[in-house]
Amino acid sequence: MKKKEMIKASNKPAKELEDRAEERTGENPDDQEVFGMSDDVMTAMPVGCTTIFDTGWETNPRPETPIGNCLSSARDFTSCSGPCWWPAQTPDGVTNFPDFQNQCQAIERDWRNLNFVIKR
Amino acid sequence: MSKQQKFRVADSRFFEAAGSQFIFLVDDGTIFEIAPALGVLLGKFDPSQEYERSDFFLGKKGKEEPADDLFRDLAGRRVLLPAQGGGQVEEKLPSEGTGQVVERLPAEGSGQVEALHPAEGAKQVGEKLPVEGSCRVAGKIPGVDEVPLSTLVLQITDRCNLGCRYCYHHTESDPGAGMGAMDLSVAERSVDFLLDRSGSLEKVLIVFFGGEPLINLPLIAHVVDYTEKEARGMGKKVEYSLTTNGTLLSSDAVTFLTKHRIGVTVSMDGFAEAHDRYRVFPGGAPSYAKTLSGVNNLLKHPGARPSVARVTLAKETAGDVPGILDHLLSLGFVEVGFAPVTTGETALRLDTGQMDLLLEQFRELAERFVDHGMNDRFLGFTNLIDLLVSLNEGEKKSYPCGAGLGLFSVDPTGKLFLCQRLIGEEDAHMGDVFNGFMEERLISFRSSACIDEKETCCKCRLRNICAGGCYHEAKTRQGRITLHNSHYCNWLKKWVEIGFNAYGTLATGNPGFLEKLSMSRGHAPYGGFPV
Repeated sequence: MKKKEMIKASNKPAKELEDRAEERTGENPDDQEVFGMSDDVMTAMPVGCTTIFDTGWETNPRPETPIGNCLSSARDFTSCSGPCWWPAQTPDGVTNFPDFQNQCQAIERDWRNLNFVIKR
Repeated sequence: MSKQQKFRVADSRFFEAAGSQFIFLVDDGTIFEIAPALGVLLGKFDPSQEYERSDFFLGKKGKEEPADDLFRDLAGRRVLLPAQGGGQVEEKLPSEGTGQVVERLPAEGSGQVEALHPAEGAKQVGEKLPVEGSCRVAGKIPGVDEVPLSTLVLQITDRCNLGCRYCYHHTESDPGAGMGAMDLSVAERSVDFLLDRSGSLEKVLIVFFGGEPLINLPLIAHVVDYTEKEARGMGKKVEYSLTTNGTLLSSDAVTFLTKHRIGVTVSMDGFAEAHDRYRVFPGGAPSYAKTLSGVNNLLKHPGARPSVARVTLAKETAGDVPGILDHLLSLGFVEVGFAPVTTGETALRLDTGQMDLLLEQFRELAERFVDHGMNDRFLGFTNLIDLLVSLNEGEKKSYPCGAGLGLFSVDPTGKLFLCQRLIGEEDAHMGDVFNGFMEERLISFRSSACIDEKETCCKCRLRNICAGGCYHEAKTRQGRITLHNSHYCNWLKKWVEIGFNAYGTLATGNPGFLEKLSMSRGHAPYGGFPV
């Protein structure tokens, strides 16, 4: 075990669990960008976005936020950080982009103007 | 968003090995090495209580961020679990994609059953209610057709040329006595039964058992012939093994066994003095010399499969374990396993002092095993190897063994029993190979043998390692097959401590060796076999 490390998997199921936990939490949220689809973004299946129907409405089994919400909602929290769509149909007009509607007076007409956002 | 979720510390056991600290999580079967500070921190929480998230990092003001990381790490590894009182997250193994821990039903021999708790949508057999206490419902009871048959033990004769004094087949109450040899039609029907019920398994195992199976070598030859033809048509591979007293291992018999790749386990109790105490011919004549000559034929035969010895320990031999191991390994056995005799007779069985002595000898052998293992050398001490592999794989047992799941035995008349040891016991009788299983009986057995139904076990931290112990032991000592082996509880707890220590030492010193042990038992190493 490395110095400063608090916990490290020993046996096989522990390693499996640890690898999955690392995959989910490895990225630093500060480095993460929010962006839509463009040429230089790999257009993988946007798993977890609201544009896709999830097969079921099971509750989030992970011991993470949002605990107990339906899986689709839970995925929005974790999956909108990669090459993925914005998690909801409208940009975040409360906290981060209060003026987004200036570009978009009527959503059904001007939605193209929204393009995508990159949070610096 | 809902109200604040509460958390609890998962049911766990701490242990130390080679100066490092570890945590074993009872319900997941996971083992993590932890920093001493974390051990101290977690030790402060009562697993039966619920806590707020903030409770876990008191006194960490100004350091919320790293503490937050730690919280997340612990939650991600399921050391901290959402409390049930929160009412939102079911306490269960995470579903696919979130750290699935495969739950295996163990099966004896190579009969590892990969199926497990039936998939969603599978029919639920019997309503299971949690027993009062900390018991957790491990899963549904597997239905009759939900576990493929992987191993069939054929009692091809109940006759034996020896008259070992401790043998469970030679007590007067043995109702199986006098059936003689299995006839060809029963043997063939048994093979069909195994193949028909093996589901999608590609490999199944036939075990030849007795009495002394080599008395009936022509039947073995016939079964192998018949099986090969039938199995080929179904695209299945059949492995064979045989348990013998070794006295009939003539060079012809060995040539036959080698030709058909039949794995051999020899019941042999060690050097002459130990062996001859109980393993005698009916007149009382010693059998060591005859056994040794057969064993030499077997172990020196070119191309023979590696063979293992099985030692039965009774009162007088309980103190000779290391010497017995050395002797049998020196003969050329690849592994040696020990088991105290199963008997209701106090004159034979080990008393408390002898069980303690046995534990000390096992401890000594475990230390030797670890010394060897640190240098990549192998010591064929089966009891410890099985335990280490079980810990390394994180096996979680809902049932103590495969008997009544993927493994059954057939007596010479075709009756099906839970295992070879329970042949002739009416409560272990589960049908016959001509008419199939007595389904209600089998389901009732599976329901009551499950670890969740063993009230004492529910509170035990070794419940998923031991699952209550051998049914035959239970029947002999406790009176009912589905009771737990309470006479071995304390011993087993100490033995698993020894296993934890050996595991931790190897995990920090030579983890690759543990992977090799796992592979020797047919498990893929972590990340799969290299392509």
